[in-house]
Amino acid sequence: MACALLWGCSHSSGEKGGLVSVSATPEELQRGFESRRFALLIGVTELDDDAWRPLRFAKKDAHDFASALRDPGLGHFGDVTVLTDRASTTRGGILSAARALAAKADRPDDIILVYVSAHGTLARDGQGSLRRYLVSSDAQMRKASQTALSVEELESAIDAAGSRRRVLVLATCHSGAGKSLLPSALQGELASLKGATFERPLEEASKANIVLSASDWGETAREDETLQNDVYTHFLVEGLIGGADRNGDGAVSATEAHDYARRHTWTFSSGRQRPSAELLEVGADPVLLSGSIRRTGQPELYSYAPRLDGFTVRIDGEQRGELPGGIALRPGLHQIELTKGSDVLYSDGLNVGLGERVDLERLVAHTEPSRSLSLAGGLLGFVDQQSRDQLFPAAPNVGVAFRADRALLDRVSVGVDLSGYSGPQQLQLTGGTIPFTATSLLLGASALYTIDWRDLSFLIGPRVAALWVQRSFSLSAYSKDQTAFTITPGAHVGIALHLSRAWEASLNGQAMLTVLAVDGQTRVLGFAGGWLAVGYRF
Amino acid sequence: MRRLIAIAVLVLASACGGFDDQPFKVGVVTGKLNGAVDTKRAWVAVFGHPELISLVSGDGSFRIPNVPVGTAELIGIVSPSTTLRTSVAVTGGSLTELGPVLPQRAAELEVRVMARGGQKLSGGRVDLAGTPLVNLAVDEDGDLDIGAVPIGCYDLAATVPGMGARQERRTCMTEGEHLLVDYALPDPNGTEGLEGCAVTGCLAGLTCLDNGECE
Repeated sequence: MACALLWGCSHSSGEKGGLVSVSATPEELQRGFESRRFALLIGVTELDDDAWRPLRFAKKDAHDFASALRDPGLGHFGDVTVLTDRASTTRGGILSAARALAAKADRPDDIILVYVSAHGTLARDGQGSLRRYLVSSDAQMRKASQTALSVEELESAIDAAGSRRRVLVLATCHSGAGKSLLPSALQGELASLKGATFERPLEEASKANIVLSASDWGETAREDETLQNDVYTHFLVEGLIGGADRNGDGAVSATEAHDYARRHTWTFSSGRQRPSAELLEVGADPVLLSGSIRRTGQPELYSYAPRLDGFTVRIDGEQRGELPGGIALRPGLHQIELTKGSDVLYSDGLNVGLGERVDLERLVAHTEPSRSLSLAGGLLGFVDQQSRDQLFPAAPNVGVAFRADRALLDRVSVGVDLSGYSGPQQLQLTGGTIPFTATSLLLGASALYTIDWRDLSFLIGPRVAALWVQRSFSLSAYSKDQTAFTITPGAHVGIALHLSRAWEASLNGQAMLTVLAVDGQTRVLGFAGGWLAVGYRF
Repeated sequence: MRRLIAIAVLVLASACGGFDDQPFKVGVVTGKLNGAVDTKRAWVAVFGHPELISLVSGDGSFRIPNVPVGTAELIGIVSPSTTLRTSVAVTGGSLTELGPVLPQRAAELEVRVMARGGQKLSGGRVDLAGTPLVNLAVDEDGDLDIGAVPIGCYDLAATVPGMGARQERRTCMTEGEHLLVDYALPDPNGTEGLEGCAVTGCLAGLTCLDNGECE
């Protein structure tokens, strides 16, 4: 039958493809192209375990947000599910609802929004790793890792959707205060850690997700009696209703709404709560939460990159905002400046047109120096003590290093270094010490996967080097030069600190395998070293 | 896999030259002996390494290469009445120069090798272990006059090749001492195996009995 069908298909037209005429009104056609919009809003107020403090507004948060999303003049979401009662906000209930949502949103252009207003907590999983959990109605404080809903689990359920436009809003926090409750032992542990060493909670989202958080890591998300809402949620909904349409195109995108809520939450909490966002679909923000695009929007500058956190954006000399976030501006040529205190990271003219969205991180990356030439000094030697004693002692090296950032691929830099040493050394042999003059020359090349974080660049990659070493003996009974040359494969790791736009300091390490003929026998020996470098960037 | 092998071969092939630490495991010892030197007989060697030996030139100088690093004991014959036995610290790859060395008065060593029971043994050999004085043949009466020997202790061994009999004795000598060492080697095959003193004869002062033994 399958053969008959195939024959029928191919025979009917006589060629591949073809158009089939259908009758549809323009409205029906428009609806066919419109993305479907699904929302799941969860407010966990009723809790089985009395150890959790009850939240006053979690249910209201979910309903208020749902109203804005359902409103045909605002969110016009077609499918909005709200879970607030004890039975449906269990760990299993939330996961089931998330999976059901993911199953429905199977088109790439479908929009999914999942919102959770609940307590957050931290707990160690079976492997001992600290994980983030959302406190579902059946979560037990003493057994949080077994009973609460892990954020990763929720993300994983949402990731199963065919949709590529996903927004997860967590009106919760994991800091141990406000909407976060932690067991006392864990609170003590966290107190001794300092926030910066924590895993950042909301920035590990899977690709194409936008994760908006009511507070940054280590900060507290708050409910407010006056607002009758979670503070962040209040301003997020307010942003959807009006005011958040930064570029004036008629629609409020997820990042516009977040930026609005972030700015107002920051002001309202007197700087104590700073919502965060992580955007992994860089350069485009297709998730519209409210309204529809009626005109081409004003140009926008934006960045949510951690390395630009805290930088002030000045446009034509006027301070217009602080990163992370976005700023709309008039079309045309503008002088853009990124500053932090007296440091100017970027200052250049930029011509922007209507509808254009400029990622400031990319802009900075393109104008930042991408090459560096450094003077380096360090120590180089065989890994094993026997070879250091009997063949060539560890010796200080000086040299130069050149690095071209992202010269191969987007994240792959190329490094070349030349270093050498010449000086008196001694072999430590059974019969005593043997003085000689040691000379070494090392020419290496590395391909380095590069990760930038704030003012730091982490570098790691394979390396190959040509090593030439000479031992010159001038003894009363033996006067001769012994020379060895070898190509050494290995690995290179480094960390570079950008001291300023023009200068950097770096710490590098290398480990290599050398093949050497020693006393007539071929030996494979480990060779390692480290060097500190100060470089000029250009 | 082939690519990995190719890379490994390339890396190995690209290595050239190398290091050699052997020259630093040995050194050269030179020195000069004072006093009269019998150039026909004189030699200096490393005790324990009889292959490391040097003749002594007319002015008393000698040179021994490839001496293992550490403390080396030199022994030597200078003249019929003087010898050398001294220690020297040898440094790898270096020349160790002994200053003018005053020879010592020699000890004299004589060895007699016989069968148990006093019968003569032919073909006896004597070794002064660790010295060039090895495989020295005794005369037909079983006697060997080695003459001047550096003072000190030696493992002195007597053998009769082919008979399988060997006797070793720790022997120490002092300056001017004349030492006679007798070896009575057992007959591994018993008395019957010997031809008897009627054929071999007895050492001087002994009489051959009818049973083939000397008395």
